[in-house]
Amino acid sequence: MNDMTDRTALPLLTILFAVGCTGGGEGEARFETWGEEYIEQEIPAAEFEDGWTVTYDKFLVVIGDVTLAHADGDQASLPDGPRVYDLNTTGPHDVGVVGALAAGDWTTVGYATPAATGSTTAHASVSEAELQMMRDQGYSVFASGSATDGTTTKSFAWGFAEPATYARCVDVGGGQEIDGIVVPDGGVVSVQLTIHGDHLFYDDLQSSAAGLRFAHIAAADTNDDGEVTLAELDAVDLSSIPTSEGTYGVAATSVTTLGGFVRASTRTLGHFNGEGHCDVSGE
Amino acid sequence: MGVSALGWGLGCDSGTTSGRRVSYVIEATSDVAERGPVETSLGWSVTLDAATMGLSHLLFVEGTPVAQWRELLVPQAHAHPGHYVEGQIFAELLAPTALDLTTSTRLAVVEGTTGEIRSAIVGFYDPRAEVLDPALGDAVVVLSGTAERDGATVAFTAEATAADVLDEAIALPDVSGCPVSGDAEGGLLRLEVSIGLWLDRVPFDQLAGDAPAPFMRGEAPHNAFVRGLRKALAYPIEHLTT
Repeated sequence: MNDMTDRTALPLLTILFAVGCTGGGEGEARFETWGEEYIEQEIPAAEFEDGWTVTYDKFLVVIGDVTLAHADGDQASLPDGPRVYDLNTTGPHDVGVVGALAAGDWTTVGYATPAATGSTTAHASVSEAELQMMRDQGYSVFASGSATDGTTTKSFAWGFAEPATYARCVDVGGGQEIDGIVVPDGGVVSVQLTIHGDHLFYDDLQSSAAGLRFAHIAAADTNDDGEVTLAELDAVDLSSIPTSEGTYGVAATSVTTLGGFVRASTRTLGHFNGEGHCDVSGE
Repeated sequence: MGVSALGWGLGCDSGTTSGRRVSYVIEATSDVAERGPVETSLGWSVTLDAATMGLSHLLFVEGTPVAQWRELLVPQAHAHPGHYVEGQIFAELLAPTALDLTTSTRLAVVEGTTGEIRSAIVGFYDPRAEVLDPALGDAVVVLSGTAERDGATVAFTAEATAADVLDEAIALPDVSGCPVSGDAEGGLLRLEVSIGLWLDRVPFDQLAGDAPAPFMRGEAPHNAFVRGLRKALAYPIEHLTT
């Protein structure tokens, strides 16, 4: 969910060369990733239930395993291996192109945010040191930044080893749901693997009434050194948070701490062409 | 679309992707009824004297629960808060019932349609319209019992109202996305309420007052209890061949 996004500016299934969708020809799928304004700029106070503002200064995510399956059963994949992107830098960022695709409906599209390994490479937005950190720690996502309510400022630098696979992605642009993508005959379809940075701060893993909150995260800084660590979040039992101050609904998970909640939230980051969604599974 | 908007708009006769008409037997029980005292993660052993739940409805649906994948009963989940979509309803129980959770109950045999039931929606009965059971009064759940840890014994009572379990997204006292395991054409749908999970994070040592000590609204034990009631994992359902 990102209301800052100008939907009309998104390259949702942009057909760069207007042609038909069938006819036995071929086309290409060009993949990109973007963290939208929430990751590149800020998540403004107006979006939070408790008046906090969050600004990222780094948002590293490993993206790979881009796969497609045609309605008739053909399969294809992006040849490039997993790569780390810093979505805090101005995007969208190119992920790669899958060429020679039969024109028509590729109804099953998916990707992954796997844990970084020794074979993971770096996008131009990522330094060698950052790549090495991701590899060494096996992170799938690393997010750092700061938050303020106008009087208090807290920083955070959280690494997550929470690999996820986003499968059977559904485009919801144009007011209708479309499974996967349509490859134009002789043209290129642009596909965005969208990462929603605001989801780390949602107070419910399932409810459509979820709100963004940071106050309880800020309060977890028990040593008051200005940085909220994941270890400090792990020390906060969700049952200690009054239900009137955030549902922190855990859906069908067994999450019991604020740290566990934020970790589980990392598996809600991946989207498809803006607001589109996918089925997610872990490893 | 609101979580339940779709569900309430679809019946078993919706004609969307319905399969053959079949019968489902619906039963309800609890961990306490099946196995006796429950152990909580805070080290308390809890024995229930009474446990009553006002059940408004049970919907057995197509949608996949949002779960944590390494520990799961089910392998897939939609990735967006609010993107739990119940989808088609395959079977539903709409008769309000006061469930005695200290025993097992055969609730009904209902007509539904075949299909892969992946999750359920458990609705608490809002007693404001009428009294379902004197034991419930204005509550949707009433418990009483004793909790023991390290030689200490605490007698308690606990109540929760419809407001405590209100899902604001749909303005109903429902818990959505409850996991369903197993598969059958028709057959038995067996809800086992986990009172242990309801009470799992309750700090019984913080209860005060004369025995039995009530869970006071606004205090930690009641807050933890309410959070337990809202957990979808507290309402696992087995779908079995009868």
